[in-house]
Amino acid sequence: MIALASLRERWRSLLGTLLTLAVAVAVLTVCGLLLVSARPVAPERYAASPVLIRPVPPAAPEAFTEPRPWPKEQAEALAIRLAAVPGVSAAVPVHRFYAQVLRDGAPVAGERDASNWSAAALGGHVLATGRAPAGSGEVVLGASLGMPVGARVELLTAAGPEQFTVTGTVRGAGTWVADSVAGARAGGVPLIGLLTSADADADADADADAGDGDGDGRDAGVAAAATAIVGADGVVLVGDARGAAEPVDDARTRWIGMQVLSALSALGLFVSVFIVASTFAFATRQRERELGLLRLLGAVPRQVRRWVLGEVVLLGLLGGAVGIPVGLLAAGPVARWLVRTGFEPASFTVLYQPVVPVAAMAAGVLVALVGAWAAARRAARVGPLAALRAAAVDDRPVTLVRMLAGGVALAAAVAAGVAATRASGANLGTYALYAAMALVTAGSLLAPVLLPPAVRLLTAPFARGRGATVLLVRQHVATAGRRSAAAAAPVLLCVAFTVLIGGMVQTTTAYYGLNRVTAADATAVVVPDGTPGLSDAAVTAAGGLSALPTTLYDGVEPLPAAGVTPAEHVLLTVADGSLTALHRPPPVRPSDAAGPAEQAVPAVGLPRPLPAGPGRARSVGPVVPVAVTEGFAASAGWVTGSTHPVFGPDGRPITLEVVAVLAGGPLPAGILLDRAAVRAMDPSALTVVVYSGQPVPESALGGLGARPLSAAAYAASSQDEDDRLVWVFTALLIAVSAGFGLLAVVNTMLMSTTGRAGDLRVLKLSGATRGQVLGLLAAETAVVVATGAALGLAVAVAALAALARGLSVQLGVPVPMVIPWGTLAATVGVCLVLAVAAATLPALASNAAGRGRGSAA
Amino acid sequence: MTSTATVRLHAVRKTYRTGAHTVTALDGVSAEFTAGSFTAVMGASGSGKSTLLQCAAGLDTVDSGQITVDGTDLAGLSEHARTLLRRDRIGFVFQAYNLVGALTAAQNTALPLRLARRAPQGAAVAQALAEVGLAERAGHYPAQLSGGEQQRVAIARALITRPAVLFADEPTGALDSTSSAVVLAALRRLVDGHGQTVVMVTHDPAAAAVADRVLVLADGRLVDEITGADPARIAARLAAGAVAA
Repeated sequence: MIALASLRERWRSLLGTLLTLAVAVAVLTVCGLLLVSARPVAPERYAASPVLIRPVPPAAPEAFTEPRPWPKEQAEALAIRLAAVPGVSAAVPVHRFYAQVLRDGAPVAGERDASNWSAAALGGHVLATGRAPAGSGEVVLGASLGMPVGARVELLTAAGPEQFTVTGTVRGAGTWVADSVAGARAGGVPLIGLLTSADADADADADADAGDGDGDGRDAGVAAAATAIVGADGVVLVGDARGAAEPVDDARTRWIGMQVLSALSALGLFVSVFIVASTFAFATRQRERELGLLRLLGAVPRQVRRWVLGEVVLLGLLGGAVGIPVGLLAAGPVARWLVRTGFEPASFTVLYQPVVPVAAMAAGVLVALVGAWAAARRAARVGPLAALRAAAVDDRPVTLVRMLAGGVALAAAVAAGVAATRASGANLGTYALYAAMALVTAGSLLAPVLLPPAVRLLTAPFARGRGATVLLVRQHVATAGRRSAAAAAPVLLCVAFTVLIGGMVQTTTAYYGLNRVTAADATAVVVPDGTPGLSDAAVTAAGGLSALPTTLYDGVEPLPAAGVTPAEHVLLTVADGSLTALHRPPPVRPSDAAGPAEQAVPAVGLPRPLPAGPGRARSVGPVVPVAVTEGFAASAGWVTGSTHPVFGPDGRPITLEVVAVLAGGPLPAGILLDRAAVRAMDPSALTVVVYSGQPVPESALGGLGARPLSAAAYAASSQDEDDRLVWVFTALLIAVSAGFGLLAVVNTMLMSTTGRAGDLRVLKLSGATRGQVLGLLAAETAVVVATGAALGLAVAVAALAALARGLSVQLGVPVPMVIPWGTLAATVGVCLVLAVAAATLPALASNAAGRGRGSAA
Repeated sequence: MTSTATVRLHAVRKTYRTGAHTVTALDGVSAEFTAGSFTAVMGASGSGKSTLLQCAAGLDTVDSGQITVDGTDLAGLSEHARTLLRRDRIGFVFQAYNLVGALTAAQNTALPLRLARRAPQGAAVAQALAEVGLAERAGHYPAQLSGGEQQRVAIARALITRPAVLFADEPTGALDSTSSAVVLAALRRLVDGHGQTVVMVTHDPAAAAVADRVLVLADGRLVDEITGADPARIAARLAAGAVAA
């Protein structure tokens, strides 16, 4: 009853907290729904195959590379044995290669690969019109493209645009060519799909009953038999686990989406706890007399604590009641936005799991409880004598516990900062964010200690004036350290996060921009336009320097590599060895050569055969000369002349021979090899960007899915899709943290002024005019905002320094720290305006209605 | 303990340390407050009268000496036990009315019972309010009541647990003379009608005159005791005491 009555009485001052909790619960509901929904989905094209077998993926799923494929022969052999499993009607190896439909010379979005026609059955696709592809220039397309049988269609492949004739169409989307064509065009086999007997009969809608009870048992049996056959050579996926076969791009997009949603949830939780904590710390201080009265009347400390917590639980439930409907309504639009922005794959839909709102509600209550815990403990310590004090005396000294907690938070911030210097990619930003969270906590806890000297320093230039305002401001802030600290904390939070997040992005992009301009001393660059990369035809047309990225495999672990031609040597600095041996004629594939791999070695014209001495890695497959970067050589322990058995992008074993170690500058990959060798092993490899010494006319790139950019435009633009996503991510985080922060600023200021009504009355009675009182409030607020902003800036700069250091260590180049002054000015400005308004408006209002109140205080 | 006194102080000493100074608030005070008596404690500012009340009520600890309330020695009690003693055996009324603004007069009155987890009986609450003449104001919030009315609600609240002793600290300090008279009359009625023990700290001779007995404190010592006096005589005795001190 007391808690409820008290809420009713004080609802105005708790409105901010309620709003915060509602927003937090809404954010959590949305993020929770989306996180639960963001599960890998088996690609449409394998929907009809109840059991999928794929090669063993790398240990770290965040590598986002395709698992090392099976060489064709091995896949064929596996497929034959799998087809013999009882219940299996067919085992289809998938041969996939890059082939994007061009319409009027422009690449069509969506399906970017062509597969063997046999694999169409894995998606339940059957011919709607026409016949299956048979010859080399024939293709079957999804009816969604609207190309009739007999039409000529241009497909952009890794080589360049090629003409095909449409021989048939199927419902849905996809591109299929004759098995023999796909077999010759594709590298290794990334997947074998099984069709089971029942599925072979039922056709297009087989996927609908693939999950039925009857089918489940049969599928499980087939899966078990398949597992026995593939052994350590692959992974058998059945049921929902087939989602693991989603395209790596989708997996990557989903992962980024998860990062965004997790960061938003974490930030929302943190900020909510923070705001609840500061609000209730404030409220407790203001209600000390009331609490003392209750103690006087016989309340034991436990009762007081329960009372405060009960109030908070009610607030949390109320916030949930408001936040959950908002979250449920917002989830759909947000999901669509995430898909549109590219944080989630197109297949993403919201699953409305009832557990999510319940969990969000619980989290809201928990957040409120955690936030108010310290305040409740403090409230319980209020003695009965507090009721008898004439005026609430602020400022007990800062407790040891608070100092210790501040120290712990500071240590955590340092740890996160150190972790940031060692992390890479998205983790780097996450650690920097953690560091900032810890620093904000430390800053707020230690603010009562830091604030008075900071204020004295800040106001020192005005101390000599005759006016009462400066004196009062200085005295108020300096003597009421805790109250001022509580008011300054949200400003600290707001400034720290916006500046950090803004600075984080500017620091990283500044580095990339710097890197890009110097990359090739280029006047123009050619970048993909609607395609995942540049075809060889586009590279030739662009006529500049480029690298052809691919992936080698050390066991199952990916090794990023890139192919270069002698022209690119101008970009390379040799530290050891020589580049001349890099471009020996491409190795002849064992399948092309008649004999075994060992005999293929002399066939590629190797100057000297490799002596198979002791301590030397056994040479397997053809020998491929490579140059490695110093960084890679150091981390992998490779030296000039050493050889290393690895696997090529087509899954076949090869042996790398290090012919040179490269010094300096950023290079496209740790391992460089001959471009033709990459092309021979990886028929679908695409070039990322071409740097050209002269301007490239747009006409030269017509119909090639590429566009030219000036070097300046390129440097200024986001390097790729990932950069754009990071930007959106950043904007989102800034918006959420600044929004929460400003809410907190207004909230604390409102509370602070309300709590000072008595003080202000005294001031007025001692002859201060209304204008002077308001001026005093404004000045005091400005000082608090300024010091909060200064502390926040310090926090952000510390975290940014860690980030810049991390980038420097990672890339071996000094990275300057960029502080976003514009963002800083805007944030502080908005904080100041809102805070002053929030502080003075209630004072104005209380002027009008100030008489009657205060009797119950 | 053979004494029949409800509250008994024996050689109580209490000092406060403020920086380098040590202030002796109570310097060996002994006093007894028998059941059903109405005692006023007077003295100049800083004479220790408020400290006496706070110590006697177990709100503050003493340096030495002994205090018993309703037969219980305060010295051996934990804070928790003292809280329970306050809740069950002691009532308070203060200068500031000290009502919870969020609760109605009736709810404020019932608060000690709720804190004690006793079911508040509507009849008991109504009766307590009736005794202070506020039966018809039960549903009002403190902000809707006058100062005198608020103080009477505070008295009703103090009585709801039927305490052994009611401590009042300047209960009329913030009231005009008419309201003061009503509040004092209410206290007097409690003593006469219900045998309530009341200890009231005041600096107002008119208020003190309502009591059966007046104790006068100066510099932490009991310097005078006046019984059955009118305000004029009390004022005179106080003035004389001040001169003598």
